[in-house]
Amino acid sequence: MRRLVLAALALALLVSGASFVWSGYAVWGNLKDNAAIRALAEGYEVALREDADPHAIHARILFLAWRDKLAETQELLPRLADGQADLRSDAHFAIANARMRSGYDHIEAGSFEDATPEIELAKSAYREALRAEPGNRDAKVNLELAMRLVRDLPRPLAEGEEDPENQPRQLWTDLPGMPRGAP
Amino acid sequence: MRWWSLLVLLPAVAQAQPEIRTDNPHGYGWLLGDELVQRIEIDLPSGVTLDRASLPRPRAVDYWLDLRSIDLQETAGHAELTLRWQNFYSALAPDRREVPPSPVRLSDGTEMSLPGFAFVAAPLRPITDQSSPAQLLPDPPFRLIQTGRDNAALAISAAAFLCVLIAIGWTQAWWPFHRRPARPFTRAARSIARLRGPALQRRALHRALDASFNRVLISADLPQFLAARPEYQPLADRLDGFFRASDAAFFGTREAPDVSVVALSRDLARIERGLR
Repeated sequence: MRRLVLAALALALLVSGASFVWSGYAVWGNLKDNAAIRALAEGYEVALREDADPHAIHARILFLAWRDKLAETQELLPRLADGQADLRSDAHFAIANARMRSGYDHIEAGSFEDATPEIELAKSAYREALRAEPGNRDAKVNLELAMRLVRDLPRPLAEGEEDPENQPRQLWTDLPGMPRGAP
Repeated sequence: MRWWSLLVLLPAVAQAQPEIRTDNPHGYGWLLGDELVQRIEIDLPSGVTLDRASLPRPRAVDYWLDLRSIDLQETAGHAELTLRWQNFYSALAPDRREVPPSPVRLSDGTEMSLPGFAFVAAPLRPITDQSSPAQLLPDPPFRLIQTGRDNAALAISAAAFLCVLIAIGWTQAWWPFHRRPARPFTRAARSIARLRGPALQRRALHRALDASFNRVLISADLPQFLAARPEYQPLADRLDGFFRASDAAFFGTREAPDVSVVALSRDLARIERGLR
């Protein structure tokens, strides 16, 4: 009986000790990440931990997008893939805004042919933001604004107006003498 | 002539169209980016299922329409589909859009189609609004991690760890529970290890045995003690030897067996704390 009690207590000590270490690591990570987010918000570039929280990755994408370093944001986006939808949506929104600003710069410089691809890229990033979170109202407004600049036009389809997915599938070849692929 | 009419009838019998009920999204008031959920219930003939491979694939169906996801719940003779569409039509004025029907196939080869629907897409901004950089909504704010849950988990696990540690210290009579009256052998084993002189050591172990027995334990009472505390049964021989040695030393009567009081008290203490 006493041995059982002692064994149960030892097990409880192991479990509570492990959860203490685990949650201690989580709290330490939160402190580090929140410090990084504050620094990024104040405009200091800081490196992130290897397994940084999605909030910290979101902050770094915002930091980079504001400074037009869009190539680096593309590397960070996959690390947000399994994070919260609203963080992913905001990150795409910030990238799209950066494209829009660059598009406006081209428009002010009078080079509309350079502005069009930027606005198109902004539109697809706004769409990504809305795919992540359909209720992101800011993304809706800015996407509509971008659509006013460069309208979406129907894609030319090879034959007919129907979506190719909706055409009946041709599963069997038209080889003569091979009805439905049978020998 | 007769078999000709049979041929005409045959497809109608084999391909009885299953009954479809749809719960379409509302027909009006959809903005850019809104999600439209369409539910379709199909009553299938017995033994027939919906061919999952023929279901429409989530994709950009058109430049203004996405199929986000499609979910199929199937029970015998009944299929329930949930299609989540997303509207990307930027309307300048309210405009009716037609979502196309999608062809699907049943396991018996029957072709059927999931019905489409129509909705009115509404504009978001007034048409007279400028599309200048000033109209662009600003970047989202930076967001800190909410630490409340992790902090609470750390506090709770620290408290649990401490409680378990205190409980173990109590059962093992560690400091500050080292004077626990319920651990006489543990206390005796610690003092015996420090004491010099076999008489003092024996005396300390006797006091511990008395405390454990709740009254003075003499060699004649040993079977009674072991019956009351069966966990000490494995040490019966050595306890008997200790009593005989003690009697020999005290009364000088019999031949004394050589019993190590230190080892015996240590083993008694180990059993007392559940270590053996």
